[in-house]
Parts: sequence; structure tokens; C-alpha cells
Amino acid sequence: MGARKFGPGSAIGLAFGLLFAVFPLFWMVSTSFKPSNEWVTTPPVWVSENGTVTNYLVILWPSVLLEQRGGLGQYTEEGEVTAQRATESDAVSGAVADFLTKSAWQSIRGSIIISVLSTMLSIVVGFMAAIAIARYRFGGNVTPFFILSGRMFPPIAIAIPFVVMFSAPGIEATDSYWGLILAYAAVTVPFSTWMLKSFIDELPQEIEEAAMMDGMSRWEAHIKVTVPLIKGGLIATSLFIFILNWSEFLFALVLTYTNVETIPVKLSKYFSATSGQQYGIQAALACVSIVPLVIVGFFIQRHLVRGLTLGAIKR
Amino acid sequence: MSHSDKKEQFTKELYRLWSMHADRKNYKVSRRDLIKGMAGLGLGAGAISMLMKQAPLSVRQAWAADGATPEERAINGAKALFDSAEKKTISIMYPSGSGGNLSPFVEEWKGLTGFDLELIEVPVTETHQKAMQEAVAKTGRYDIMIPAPLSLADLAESGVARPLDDYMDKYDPEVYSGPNQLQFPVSDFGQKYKGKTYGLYCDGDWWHLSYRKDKLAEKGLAPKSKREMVHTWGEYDELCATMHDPDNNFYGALEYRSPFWNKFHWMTRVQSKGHFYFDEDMNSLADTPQGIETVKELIALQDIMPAEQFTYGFTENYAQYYAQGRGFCEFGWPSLWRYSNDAAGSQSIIAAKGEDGEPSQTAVSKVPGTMHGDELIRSCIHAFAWDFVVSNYSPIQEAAYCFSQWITGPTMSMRSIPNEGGYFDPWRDNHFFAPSAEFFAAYPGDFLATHAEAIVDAVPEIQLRGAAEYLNALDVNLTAAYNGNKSPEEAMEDTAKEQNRITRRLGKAEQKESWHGLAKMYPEPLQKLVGVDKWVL
Repeated sequence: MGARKFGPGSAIGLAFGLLFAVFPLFWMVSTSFKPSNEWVTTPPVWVSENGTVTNYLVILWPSVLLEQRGGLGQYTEEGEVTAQRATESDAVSGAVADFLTKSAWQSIRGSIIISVLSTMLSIVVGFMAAIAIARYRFGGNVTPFFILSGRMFPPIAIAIPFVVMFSAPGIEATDSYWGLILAYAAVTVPFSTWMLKSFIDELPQEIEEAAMMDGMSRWEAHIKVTVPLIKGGLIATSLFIFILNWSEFLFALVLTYTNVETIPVKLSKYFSATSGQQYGIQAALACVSIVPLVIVGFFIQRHLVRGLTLGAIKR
Repeated sequence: MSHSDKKEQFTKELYRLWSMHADRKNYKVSRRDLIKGMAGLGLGAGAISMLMKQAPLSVRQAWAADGATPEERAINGAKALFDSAEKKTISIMYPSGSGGNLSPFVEEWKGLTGFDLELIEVPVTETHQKAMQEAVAKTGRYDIMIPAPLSLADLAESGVARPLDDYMDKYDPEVYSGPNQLQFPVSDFGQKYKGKTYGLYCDGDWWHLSYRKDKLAEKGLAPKSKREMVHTWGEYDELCATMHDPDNNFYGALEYRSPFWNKFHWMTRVQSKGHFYFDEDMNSLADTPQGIETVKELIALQDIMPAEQFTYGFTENYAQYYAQGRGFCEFGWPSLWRYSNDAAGSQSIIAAKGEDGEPSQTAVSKVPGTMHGDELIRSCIHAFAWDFVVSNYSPIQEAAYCFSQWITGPTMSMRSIPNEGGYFDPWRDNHFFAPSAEFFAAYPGDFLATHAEAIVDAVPEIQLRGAAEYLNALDVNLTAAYNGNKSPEEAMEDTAKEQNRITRRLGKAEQKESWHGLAKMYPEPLQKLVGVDKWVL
């Protein structure tokens, strides 16, 4: 079959596709460098001529801004103001100055710890479940669907029961890293199980049997033979689960109070009843939040492509 | 007398004192005696309670906590509770962005009472959901929650909000009487549900109208009075049209037609016509001729509003138009006035001051109203605001109440409201009539006096169980009417159908009872106009 030509129609289509995919990213990056009076304007400011890093300072090093403005204007018992009021050169108005009292580092740290560990847990449990189902027919035809049923109802339906269970005396898992890790692993295991099962199904069972004939135990055969052969699939599944965990909002909101915070919850806090959505600050945090994913994606892209195409050709 | 005789006599005496007839042999209490005794106790307690309610303040204070001010009584109460408290930290769920009203006082409270404070920040849009989550999970994680009054009905019905009446009797926060009180009707619908107080109010969020007095003067026009730009809605529509100057990028009206925000205009305008959300039987009145006519009036105004009216909400309208000098007037909450007169903090270009130090470009007005005979009746929407609610699942409810009373007390609120990094607004009489210099600086000009006058016209949102659903039905259909996707008639018929369906689902009898309670917390002229006093359950 001859290769199809890449004509002008394809180029235009591709350009539209690219624009559609890249525009939100461009807008996010652009907004993150805009001063507050350019966040929502008509006509829109595409690229600010008054670019600023204030939004990044608010989320990463708010103390710099706080120091610049001499603290917050707050009154003592005697009616004296403890710091200067906002001045015209201030980048952050008094209305939203509360956001300068805490950075977003806690949420960045929380997102990394929780997403990494819950992804690992989900992959380990999902892999073992996938092996049991694919190789040993564990639970017959019913179990795989039973596992998947965990994803068949809206998360809000199980969010409150999670709070009740996790708040029980003796468990007290709310507002803890391990509580959220457990919850995330529980809700992503159906995905990891099914995705990994499909990769294992594509792998000839005879290879593992040959390894066992050569003296390996079942565990050894699966760990030393199966895992390396489905490495691409494992990485693709891990990235998929990681993205799910990284961007999850509902469980992070209901299961945390003060000790633990994640980026999606922190993003939703940059909203003031007086000044509305803090679009620039939210965009800055969103930009920061995609950095780890971009780095990870860059290093694993080779495996990712292999993983995504694994099983594309039916045996 | 032997020991056993003494014992018998003592037992007889006890029974006599309790008005119970002892069995002649063993002094056991019969079932009838027990019922009699308990009834006697109940009647006695009831009588004392009735007497105390009628008693002069001095007598009541003898029973209440010590202290000359609400703050002192709260501190003394908390101090007395500290040693025996099961928990030494009061955990507070507060809406994001309002930390400036609370965090500066943590150490002060701890020093005064021993109780530490834990501030749990929740996204401002999720306060209701987090509070309702606690209603189901009953974790006791929050001692205090700070939701909007709109949430009170749901929180009270779900059992998570603790009625505060007994604590208020004991500690007297001075919100219902005295020189520092919160005036009716906000005192009632801002804090009460079905006759009980569930929240201590802390944020005076009823509407006003900010307008450009300099532009009005340029046209050779004048406001109706110092605190009234116009009297009626008709005059408002006319004046806005007169001030409209599209050639100079200056818009006559800056109302909201975007989702969520638009309903407040309809609620403010329609209720001044003597038209409530529901009738006596809890049937929606959205599709009545007045309801539909009001939508048409609001659509007619769209011609003199900016193109972004369908996307801009309160803050965008303010930041991009009013504070940038591109609009004649805007309805809004107190922060509209505060920040449009704060050139430094909010990049407002209309914050000029005259030689007397008063704002020279902007003025503040009560919202317009409707003439009923000779009487001008206004209905000024009260939306958002915040309440300190004590959780029923807190192990330290009384201490939590004491903190709530302390921070919302006349002096403390005077200190906390002007703070940067918070958004609570003036609400007590002392804020309006005896403001500190700092307080006045935050709300300059005639704002405080106007806001104080306007409180008597304040009307509530649909503060019933399922409030968010009722309001959403209104919001979605009004948006459709403003966008031209539905005719005003269709939109309001759909609103009424949906609201009636919500009522049926939640239980008409219960909702009707709550609605009657809310209707009795409307401004008196409006109650009279609608005839609420003749309503029967």
C-alpha cells in the first residue's frame, strides 16, 4: 500500500488540532505572567506587555511580597495598624492579602508524596490482581467485572462513606498521607488491574511456563519474566494512574483538613469572596503542577509509546 | 433517736420535699408519684424560664456569665471551661481568603482563655458541602463552622448545627438588643431558622448602589436625596439610559446577566413589588405577571450594558468597568464601596477625594424601590454573609460558642473587619454609629450611615432546606431568558415548575412551615403588603 501524501488539507487539519491542544496551555502560561488587571479583559490580553512574576511569588515565596509591603494591615487592640496599608506599587491588594500568609509548597509536597505512593500501591496490587485473573482464572468471569464495578458509580457516592470509615476511632486516617494514599489506590486499582490484565493477556503464557520449567518459582517467573516483558505497559499504566491521582479533587477535599493538602484543593482556595477567582495565581500554580508530569513524560516517552501500542496487533 | 430512725425520717423528709407519697412500708415511689413529680419539676422549670424572660436585664444578668461586655463574658466563660474541657483546641472551618479576620487574633484568644485555635481553611465555594459532609460523617472534627446564612436551614435540619439560644441567654452577645445590636430583619433571617438561633452573624452583606456623582453633576442632574440616587425602578431605568454614553465607552448600567450572579437583580427588583418567592401555600410565584414583567424590565436594560454582561460577575464588572471609570452605577456588596475607594489596594481610578477628605467621584445610595400608594417600598437583597455555627458534634460546644461571641463582639469585630486579607463587612450598630478611625477609613464617606439605613429593607435569599436547588432553578432559567434562549414567560414557567417539584420532593408541609417562618422575618412593610400576618399553616 502506497504512503498517502501529506497535502495542504492535512497540514491545515494538523494545525487546527495543534491549536486546539496547545491553546489552553498557552493561555495558562500567558495568564500566569499577567498582572491582575489583565486577567479578565475585553479584548483579551494575549501576551502581557507588563509581564510579572508576582503570581509565582504568591504561590512559591509569598514572604518576599509580604516583606515588600511590610506585612498585612491589621489592627492592634489599641487601634494601631501593625503594618503599612497596601500602596499603589503593591502587586497584591489588601483584599486578597490573606493568600500571602501561606505558600503552596505544602500542597506541592502533598501531591507528590500522595500521587507517587498511591500509584505504586495501585500498580503493585493491580499487577497481582491482573496476574491472578489472566493466568490463574481467579474468580472466573465474574471477579474482573466485580473489580471494575468500583468505577461504575460516581465518586461522590463513596466519598462520604470513606470519611465515615476513616474517621472511626482507631483508624483515624482522615487528614493523613496514608489515608489519602489508601483511598486513591482503592479507586484506581480497577483501572490498573484491567489495563495490566490486557497487557499480560497479550504475552504468551508459554514464556512464563518455560521459565518455570527452568526452575523458577511462579513468583520469580512473574517478577523476572513477565514484568520486564510488559515494561512499556506498566509504565503507560503508571503514568495514567499517576495523572488520575495528581489531578484528583473530590477525595482530597473531603478527606483532608489542615495536615495534608494537594494542588487541586489549593487551586480552589485561590478564590476570594471579594475579588473572585484569582486567575493569574491559579494559572501559576497550574503551570508549576504540570512540571513534574512533563519531566516524567519526557524521560519515559519511549516506553510510553511502546506501552500504548502493546497489544495493538491481535495474536 | 437511733440511726435507723434518723435514716427513715430523712427519707420521709426527702419524699415530702419532692411532693411524692411514700409507700407506708418501704417508701418506694409509685409510677403515678413519679409522673406527678416529673410534671411538677417540668412546670417549675418552665415557670422560672418564663419569669426570667420577662425579668429586667439586671435580674437576668445575675444568672448569666460575669462581664460587662460580650467579649468579657465570653472570655470569662471560656476560662471557666478550660480546665474541664475535653479538648483544648477549638477547630474552626473558615472560608478561604477570610483569614485576615481571624488569624491575627489566635494568640490573643489563647492568652486570654488558654484555648488554642486551629483554623481549617476550606475553599469558599465548598463551605456548604464541607459542613454537610460533617452532618453525615459526624466526626466532631469542627467545633465551629463558618457557612453562609443560606446554609442554616440545611445545617439545622440535618442536625449538625447546634441551637445557640441557651448560650445566648447565658452570655448575651448583644445582637438582639442594646446599642451594639444587629437590626431587624437581618438579625433574624441572618441568624435564625424556625425560631431558633443557629448562627452568630459576622458579615453585613446586604446590597447598596454605588454611582458616579461627578458624572451625574456633569449632566446637570442631582440625586433624589443624600442617600437615594433615585426612588423607584422606573426612575433608575430612565437615569441609567440618560447616563449611557457609548461613544465615550461609558455604560449606563453595570448589572449582572451572567450565571449565578444574575438572579440577585431579579430578587431585589421583584420583591419591592410585594411579590415574594412563594405564596402562602408554598407555590412558586416565579411565573406570576410581576415575576415575568420584572424579567422583561431587566432584559430592556441590557441595551445600555457592556457586551460582557453575560460573562462578567460582580468582581469582573467592578474591576473592568466600575473601578476603571467605564460605568455609571453598580449594585453590590459593601466591598464594592470599600475597594472602589481604595486606589492603592484595587487600582481604582475613581477613588479621588475632595478637600474635605470625602470621596469626590462616587456616592452611595440605597437600592430603588416601588411606590405602593404613597409609600416607597424597597427590597434590598441580602446574599452571602457568614455565620459562626457551633457543631452539634463538637465535644467543647460551649467554649466554641464563647469564641464565636468573642470574635463577633462589638469591639473585636470593629478591630477585625478593617483588617487586610479578610472580607467581613460592617453589620452591628456600633460599626455604623461609633466607628473607629480605622474602620471609617476602610468605609469612607457616607457609606456606613447609608448601609445602616438600608438594613431595614434587607430581604433574604430562599433560605429554606434545598436553598441551592431553588436558587439554581431560578438562575438557570433567568440566564436562558437573558440570553434569548427562552422567552421570559417560558423561563419563569419553567422556574415555577422546577421550584414546585423541589418543594414536593422535600415535603410540602415541612417546607411550608419553614417558608412561613422566613416570611415573618421579612421587613415589616413588605410583610404588611403581602399580608403575611393573615397566613395560616
